Amino acid sequence: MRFLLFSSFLILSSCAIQQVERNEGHSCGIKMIFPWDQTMIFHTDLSVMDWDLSGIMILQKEANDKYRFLLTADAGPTLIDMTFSMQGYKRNYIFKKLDRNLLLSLFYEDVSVLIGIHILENKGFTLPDFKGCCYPFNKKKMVCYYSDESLTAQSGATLYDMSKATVTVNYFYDANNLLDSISVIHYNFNMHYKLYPIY
Amino acid sequence: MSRFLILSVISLPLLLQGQPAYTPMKDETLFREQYIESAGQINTLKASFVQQKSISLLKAKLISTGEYHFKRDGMVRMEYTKPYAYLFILNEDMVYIRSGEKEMHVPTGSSRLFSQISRITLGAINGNILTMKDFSMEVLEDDNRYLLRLDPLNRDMKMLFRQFQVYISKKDLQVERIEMLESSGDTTSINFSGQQVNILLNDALFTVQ
Repeated sequence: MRFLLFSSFLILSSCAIQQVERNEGHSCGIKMIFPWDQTMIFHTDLSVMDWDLSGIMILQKEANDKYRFLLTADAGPTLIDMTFSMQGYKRNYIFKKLDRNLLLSLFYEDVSVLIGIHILENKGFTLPDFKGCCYPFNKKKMVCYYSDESLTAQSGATLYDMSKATVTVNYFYDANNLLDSISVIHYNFNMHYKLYPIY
Repeated sequence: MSRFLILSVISLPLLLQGQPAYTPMKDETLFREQYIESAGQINTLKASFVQQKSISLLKAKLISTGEYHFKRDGMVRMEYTKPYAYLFILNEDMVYIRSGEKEMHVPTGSSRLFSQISRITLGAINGNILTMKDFSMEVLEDDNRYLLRLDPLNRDMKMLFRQFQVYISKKDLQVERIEMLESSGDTTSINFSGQQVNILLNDALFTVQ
């Protein structure tokens, strides 16, 4: 019942988009859409608190299930460079004014949801009235993925903290079923952004 | 790959082999006089630009292209057209930015990063770069170009950039390239080409509404 909100419209389907099975052993068989073994380059419009930034975001798979996350300004410098793993994140370079634990943690959660970093070692589970698949995320949280071609945002994921949604990631596709954009919206913090693939 | 041009990595030995040797100028006075006089005659400028970002994370360079417009005194329009659309207009103390679905009208103080970068391109065109107080500057030359090396003195700027390099053609004293060497080790260069000087540019290009 906790996810009654989704029950009316969520129908698990296999889209014609790029999909990667992250954990064949889990029971619900949801497929990740992020090509997690490739380098992804996005143009992004980002709003955090009263700060707006337009720039380039790069996600790259590295060895040992680690991921590199890099954010640069348009026509400008690298602002954030971090390495992500299931265990957490490591700062490689952070522009001093952005070196805030909360902000970096939010980016870590967003990207983890986006690439399904916590799916590697966790088995998924289903919930009543929810035709997607959920996974434990750290100790207290869980992330639920869904996809439905009949929706405008054909697939997405929501991160829950004690049953309250904290972040939603939505994937939008064009008429040819190619990824057009990804939106990331935080509910407890004034932060939202869109990612446009430019690879 | 179709929407984003990617260059192959040039190996360091090849890069060094082709690197021109710039030497410090013995007497900058004549250059400064000529440059200020030449820059003072530029009322408008239109050019194409190619921006290359070298990011240590990537083996390839990220390339974007667009058009640059300048109108005396303080008007700059920098429009990226590929691989994404991004428009930046600096009109005296106001900035207009359009990116994706977003539009912003802000004072220059609210968009300090891009405004600072624009101030350097603007200063390189109108000659004010020679008197900027927040940089220490060294002037070098080779057979074909002058090279201005600007080290930021401002603490905030130093956190982001190690050095700016402005390459000026000896033939016509036009800015050919601006390189930004970042504190992180990454670099961004902007190459200008097809410069058209003192052509008619409508004020609407620089409108910040």
